[in-house]
Amino acid sequence: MRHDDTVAKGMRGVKAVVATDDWVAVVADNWWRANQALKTVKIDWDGGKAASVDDASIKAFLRTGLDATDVPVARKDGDVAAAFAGAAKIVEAEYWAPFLNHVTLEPQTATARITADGVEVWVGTQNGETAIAAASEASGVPLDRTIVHKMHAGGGFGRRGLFNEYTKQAIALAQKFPGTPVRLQWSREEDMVQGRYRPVSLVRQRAALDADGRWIGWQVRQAEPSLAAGVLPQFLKDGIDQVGTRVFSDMPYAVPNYALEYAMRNTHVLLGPWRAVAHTHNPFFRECFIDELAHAVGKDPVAFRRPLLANKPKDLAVLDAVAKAVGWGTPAPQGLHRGIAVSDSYGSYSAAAVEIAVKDGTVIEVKRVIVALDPGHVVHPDAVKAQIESGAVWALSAAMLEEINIQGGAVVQRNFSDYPVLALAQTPKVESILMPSGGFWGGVGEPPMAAIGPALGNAIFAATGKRVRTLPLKHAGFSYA
Amino acid sequence: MIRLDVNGRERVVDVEPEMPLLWVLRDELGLTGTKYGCGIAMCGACTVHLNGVPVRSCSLPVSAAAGQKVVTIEGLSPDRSHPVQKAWIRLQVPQCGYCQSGQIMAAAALIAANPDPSDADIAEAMTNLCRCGTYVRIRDAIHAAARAA
Repeated sequence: MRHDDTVAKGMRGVKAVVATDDWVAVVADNWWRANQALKTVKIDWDGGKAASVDDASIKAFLRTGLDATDVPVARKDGDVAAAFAGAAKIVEAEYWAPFLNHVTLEPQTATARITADGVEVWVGTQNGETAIAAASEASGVPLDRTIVHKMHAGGGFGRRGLFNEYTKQAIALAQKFPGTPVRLQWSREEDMVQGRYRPVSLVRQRAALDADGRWIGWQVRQAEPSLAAGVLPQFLKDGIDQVGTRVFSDMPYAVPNYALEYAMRNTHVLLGPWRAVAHTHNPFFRECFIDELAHAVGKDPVAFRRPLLANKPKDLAVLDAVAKAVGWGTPAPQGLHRGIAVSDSYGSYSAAAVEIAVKDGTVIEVKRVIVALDPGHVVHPDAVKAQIESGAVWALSAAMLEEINIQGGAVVQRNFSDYPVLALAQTPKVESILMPSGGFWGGVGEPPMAAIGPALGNAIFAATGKRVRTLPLKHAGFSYA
Repeated sequence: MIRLDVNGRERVVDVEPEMPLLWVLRDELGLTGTKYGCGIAMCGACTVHLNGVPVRSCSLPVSAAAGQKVVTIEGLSPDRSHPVQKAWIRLQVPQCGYCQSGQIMAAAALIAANPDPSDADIAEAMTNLCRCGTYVRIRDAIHAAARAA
């Protein structure tokens, strides 16, 4: 990387231009002045081998994982080959989910001050321990003279926990001005292109059904970059990402012959835990595919699931609760269509029913979202409801709108203009059913999201007969009212 | 030198006329309740009132605000007693809180112009983004504030 900062250095208010091997920053007496000056810095980036990577090459690379023969098996029940050999009907489908950015409304920021006594940092963080470790490492100051003030973060969602690159950068800037606090504020554009993205994922599922429409065999092949390999090595075992396989590895359905295969395909794109992690897209793949199976054998999607969950009373209870609340089994109000899904996660059990209207065959209006949640225990019902409402907005936003694209090895999107997120006008009524049943204390921040996306996909199928297998749904020609 | 009326107080600033009002408020006057979210007038975290009308201060040159009445979240009420602020607290709207200054300023301007907004009126006026997804409660709190106002 080479840069020319001749113009920037002469601009009003500019105190310094600081460059390292992979970033350039401008320090000024006002953030707008710093950012105006930064825009004048000419930078020749060296993309290295990644410079030729784009969406198509990533998808082709993941596809090699679908076809590979030497793939680790994450779970194996019964005899899948025999089940398929004896099947009356076989259903096969491929599903795809894109990279996503957290886009916390506050772009990443940190303030640092270096003095003779040590280093002091002010930062909104989800993880004070990694923040103080990063501050000590970046400054070379021992931990006992490193202070991190945990500020109220402007959104976290997994972005502000494991990664402290902005904190390290703030310290590098503060080292140029001993005694003076320096606040680093990324622009929205910087935040968009330097995210830690939810991994892309390509999944092929095959199901074997017998002559009576019973589900006797299931083969799942995941091909995706591994979050664990990048940032959570404790969750990597025998080439299998124990986080990325969730929803499939712990699936609750009584399918006697089942195989889950995991083909790790790592790219250079940086990854991070994005609110609900694997439960953002794996439930979409699983629960929409099960909807496909129900329709393939002419069964109602709830009736198809119920016997398969007979030994999973908590999953069954939340499924039954949303079915009852939405009036499943009775005709939907004129012009409305319903979808339903269930997924447990993080020790909690959730199901969702979604009601939509479709205008002109392609314009989706989500009218109503119902979520039933069993987190074991509920201490503060209003706070749990707030998380369900919030989770509904996140899930709908991801399913309908959000996507990060790669071109020339870099992120294409720059701001909310090309990375739209859900607005108030698109937010439906959200109804919460809290049904704590005791036992394990499960989560409430992420589990409510899991079933909403697939319930929406299944409602779209009910309304239009079109099965959407690629996220976001806009790729199937749908838009959002 | 540019003369501003911010929260009823005259302020004189020595800045470039094209500097957005947001950065005058935050970095020159120390009024950090108004937030930066996108810089392109899309997210609304920087919403303030200009003569009672909600504006995106990240995209308004400070010269355009000279001599006009600017009100920020710090000046909406002296003691958090504005009906919108009270409804926000009662219904526990905020989560991370970062967008909420802008949401509250937009909501206060809506209610001042339309004392009984419908859901459709709220959807049209409230274009501020909230990444935490507090929209359900924002809608409810605006109705509650309108009833109380």
